[in-house]
Amino acid sequence: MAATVAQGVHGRRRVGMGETFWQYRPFEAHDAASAVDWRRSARSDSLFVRETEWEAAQSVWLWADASASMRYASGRRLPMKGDRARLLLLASAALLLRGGERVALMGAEDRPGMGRLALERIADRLLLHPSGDPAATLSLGLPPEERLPRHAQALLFGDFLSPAEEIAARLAGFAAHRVGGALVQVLDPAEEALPFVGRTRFQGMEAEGDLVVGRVESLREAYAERMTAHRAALEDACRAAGWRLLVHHTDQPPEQALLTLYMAMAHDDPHSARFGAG
Amino acid sequence: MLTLGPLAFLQPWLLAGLLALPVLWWLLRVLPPAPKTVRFPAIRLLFGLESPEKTPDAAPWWLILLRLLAAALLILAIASPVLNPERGLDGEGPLVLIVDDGYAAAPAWGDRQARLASLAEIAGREGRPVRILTTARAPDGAPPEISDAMPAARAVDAIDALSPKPWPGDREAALAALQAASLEGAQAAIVWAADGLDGPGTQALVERLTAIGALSVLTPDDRLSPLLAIPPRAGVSDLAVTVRRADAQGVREVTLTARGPDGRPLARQSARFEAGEREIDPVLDIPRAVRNDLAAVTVEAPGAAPETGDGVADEAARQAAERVATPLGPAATALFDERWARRPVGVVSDAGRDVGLALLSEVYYLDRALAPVGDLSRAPADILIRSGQTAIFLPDSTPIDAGERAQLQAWIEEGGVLVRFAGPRLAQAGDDALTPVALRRGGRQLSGALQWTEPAKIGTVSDFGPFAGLDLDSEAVVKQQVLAEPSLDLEQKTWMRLEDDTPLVTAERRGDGWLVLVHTTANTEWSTLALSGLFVEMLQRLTELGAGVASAAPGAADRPLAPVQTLDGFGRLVQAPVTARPIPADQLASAPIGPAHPPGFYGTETARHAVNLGPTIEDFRPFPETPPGVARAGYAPAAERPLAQWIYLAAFLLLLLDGLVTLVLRGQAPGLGALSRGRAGGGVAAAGLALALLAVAPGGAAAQNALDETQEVGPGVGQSSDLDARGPDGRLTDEAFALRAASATTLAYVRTGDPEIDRISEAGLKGLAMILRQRTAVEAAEPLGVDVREDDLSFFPLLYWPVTDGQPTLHQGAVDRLNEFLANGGTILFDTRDAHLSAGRMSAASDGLRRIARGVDIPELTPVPPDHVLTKSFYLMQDFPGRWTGDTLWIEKPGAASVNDGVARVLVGGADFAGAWAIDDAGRPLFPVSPGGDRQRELSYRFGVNLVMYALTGNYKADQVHIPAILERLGQ
Repeated sequence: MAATVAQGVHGRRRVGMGETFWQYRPFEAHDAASAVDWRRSARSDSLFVRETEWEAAQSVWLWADASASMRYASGRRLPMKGDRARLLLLASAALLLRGGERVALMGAEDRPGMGRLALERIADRLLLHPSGDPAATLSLGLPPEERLPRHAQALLFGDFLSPAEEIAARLAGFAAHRVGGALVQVLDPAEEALPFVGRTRFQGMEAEGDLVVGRVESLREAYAERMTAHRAALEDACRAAGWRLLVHHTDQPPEQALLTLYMAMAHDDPHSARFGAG
Repeated sequence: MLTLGPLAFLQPWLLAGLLALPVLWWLLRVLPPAPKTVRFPAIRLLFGLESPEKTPDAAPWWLILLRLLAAALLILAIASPVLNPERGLDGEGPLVLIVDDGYAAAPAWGDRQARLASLAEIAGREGRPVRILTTARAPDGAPPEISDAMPAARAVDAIDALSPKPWPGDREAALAALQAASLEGAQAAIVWAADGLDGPGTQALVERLTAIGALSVLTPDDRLSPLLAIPPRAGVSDLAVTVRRADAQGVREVTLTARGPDGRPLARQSARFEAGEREIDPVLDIPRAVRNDLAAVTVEAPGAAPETGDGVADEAARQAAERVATPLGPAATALFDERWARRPVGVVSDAGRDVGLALLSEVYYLDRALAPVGDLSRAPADILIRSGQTAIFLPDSTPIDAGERAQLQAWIEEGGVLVRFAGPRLAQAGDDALTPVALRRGGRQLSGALQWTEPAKIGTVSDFGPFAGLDLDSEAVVKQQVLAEPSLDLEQKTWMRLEDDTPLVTAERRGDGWLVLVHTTANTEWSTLALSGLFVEMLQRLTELGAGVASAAPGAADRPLAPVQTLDGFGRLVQAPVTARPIPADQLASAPIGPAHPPGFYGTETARHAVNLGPTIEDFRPFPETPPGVARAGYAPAAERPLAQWIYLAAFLLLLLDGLVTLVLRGQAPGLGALSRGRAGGGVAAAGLALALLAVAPGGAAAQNALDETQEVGPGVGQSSDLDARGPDGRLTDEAFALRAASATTLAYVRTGDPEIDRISEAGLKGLAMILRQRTAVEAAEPLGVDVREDDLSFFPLLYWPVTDGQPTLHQGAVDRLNEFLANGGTILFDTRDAHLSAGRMSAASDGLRRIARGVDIPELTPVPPDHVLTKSFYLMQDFPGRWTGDTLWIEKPGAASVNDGVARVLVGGADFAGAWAIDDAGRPLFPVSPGGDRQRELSYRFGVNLVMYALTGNYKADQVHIPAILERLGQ
């Protein structure tokens, strides 16, 4: 993973501030004398200026759902959704930082940072003070309405089981600021398949109330339809906002989700031009 | 009662509850099971979903079946099912139980009670009252009485309270009681729990009972039918207990157990009635050493005969059978008193007239040989006769006068056994009538300086005497003997001969007793017979000739003998009941055994007379044939078995299982979540898991206990606090004292009782010990105060003894201890501490020293000579100052004794050495020295060092003196 990511995807393919050699250019009048590459110039009669590729770091804002519904795992061997979401967040943050991006945690009133220090700060916020931010729990599974810098990128991890309209409204808000990004829906397999049988009392995890179902298995198809519909609505909202929707199940390895995420952010994203456009 | 084959229900109408089962089925089908609870994040998607199936979810069929089964079991259990129910009772009236509770009823009494109780329970079920009539008289002598009609529950209690009596039943009296009760026409069911014996009134009672109602007679089986045990005649050597049975049918095994006064078994032996035998008399083989302990022989019925093969299994089965051996009651218990046990034998001895060396005397040899035979007493003849002896041994060395001779003569006539030994005195005697045969004067010498003949060995024994069968394989030889005059009856009177056929032992019957003469001495003067084991066996057999002697308790012939210990109805020796009355001594044999005189021991604790039940029973026949119509049965325990408890248990287990399954189905069983998905298998697996948990829990607890124990063991070892363990009075315990004193070189001071002086002594020795540790190789430990009157002094090389006026005089034990201490290498430094007052003269403290040392082995003293080892054992010094100077140090005069490696045992000074040595905790001197100066204190320390070195190393330094001379000699 790290090797894949390390290949230069950060190059902006244009001249600018950076460290990678881009081209030699004949000296022009407005160039400072210090800009002359004397080694190159010595091989010919004219003066040359060495230009590097512009390597502007992208600022990426990360957010993980910390609401109660994320503390769920249907089986003993499965991780909790919240744990998986935080794992994915940290992993992508590490990768982004290694790629030279600037990364910040959403809702932490933090400035995007670079390097190991930023990763440590994020991990600290995320793991050691998980409930330090009351807004995270109050937001009930939605990212905070935070004013992000224009053209920033956002990565949102959560189960996104809130009504699709609310999510769509939030995404539209981001899009209005030309903030792009991706939603990573982390779901437990039980939420996908509804494997329960018999008479069951369902209890919501965020005070939604109780529901007693006589035969759960008879509801399975209807539930699957609803889930599909919900996801379709989410995708619509993303498309409208120019975002990506990725679905990850906790019984899948997290590497898979990370790879998909990386591909989405780097290549296959139809909006990858944005990265270049910065 | 509803009977279905071997199963019956006592409350059959409750089975109607089974009809409710279909209703229960329907209810269980209709009522949905409690939902399992699931926390689910995506519940929003579920809201509003309608299930297409309207039928509620039902509990799985196997769960319903489980519950129905539990319900059915409960109903069955309530209906009181019984396996193998008892046949009902005959008749309609009350149940009359006739219970034989005489001596013969003891075997397996518990089985009888159980059988009777089950009969009473049947009567209770049928709602019939119970009346009980016992046939033996009550302990207070009251004749049997029939009880009032009582309900079954009370009857069971009454049956439980019955116990057999150690006297015969009285069926005639029972018959009278029955007639008084007028049970005619009651249509009673009558059960007679008989003891299996015939007796007066039996026939009449049977007739009477058959007239009242349907009679069934219970008799014990052959294995447990009563037996009589009759002790052997008192005084015989063999312990042959006669065992008699009522019938003579079949083969029967019995076990005889010899018991001590406390019931402890001494020996056990089995015997066997062959078919047709009514009486056997097996001989109990009891070690002679424990025979005097014998109090009773109980005859027991062995347990159910083991049918296994041989080897280990057989051994185990035999032991098991012995364990369950059933005692057969008081009649099968033969009691033994002193008449059987004690064999008083006497050796005629007169300390005043005996001469010669004690360890070679005849009396001594007889003593040693007779010790294992019986209770031995040595006394003049008249006293022996008065005190009653089985046999009297008269050695040749003890002269007897004419009066004693006549007394002995009379005593033999009455049944005594007098064993005489020949010897020089008898050989020289003229006419001695007190011999079985006429003797030649002078005797015969077979071996001697002027003889060519060899000493004679033992030849043969006669077939008829007590020595018949004696093993003569002995090295014993006879060097000298007295010879019998030949006579016609000499052959009949001779019991033992030498190899040349001359008589060695002759005997004559006189009256009821025996006069026996051994033709040689009882010591080694004339023969080595007295050294051989044969001698002991001969004396044993001679002793057994005599009849037992009743202990001669003083008192009139008809003095009353109080009961000491009596047999209870089971044949156990217990404290005599209050209802037992004394028996006059002369009626012991004839007193009728009954409530007033139960069998047992009478007399006093020391002189007990056995009153046996067995010999008094003459009419001992089995229960007679009964007329037709009378049922006969045994006491086999009832096969009826109530099942309700087991069914309750099964129902409970099923309900428990149901609860577990329900928990699993609702997903609330922790750790069982995975099982909730398997449907039918879940319940079974859950039950299995629960059982496994139950099984594991105690194991875990045991492991935990084991862990705890190891943890407790750990730190207990090697605790140094043992060294300071103190007794209740704050002093060191003996062991702790020894540990302290022996674990290092310890200086010790004598505690004077004056706390101030003791404190100075301790501080002084502490200071000296410090100096020793600093300057020398002596690793002296903390000093220890000792009390010469109590403590063990042997640990200490040196005792510092400050002398005060107030010290008490030593008692003899302390003086002995001090002398021992001095003799075994101890050294005592007496310090009168008064040099500043006395200036070398006698003083009060000197008086005190004299008083204390009175009795102590104080050697001659002298001022320390200038070349004494003490002056050079570590430091070279001539003065020995303490706190004071100018005093003379006295020391044991060198060379006076060579004990103790030449180290002086006693030093006496008055310079208050401890005062000079004493330091406080900070190491500073406690007292000034006089006239003063560090030099004086240093010199006093040096004296201390020299003294300790001297006490520890002895004359080592004295030898050093000779080194120059030795070297010089070696050089040449």
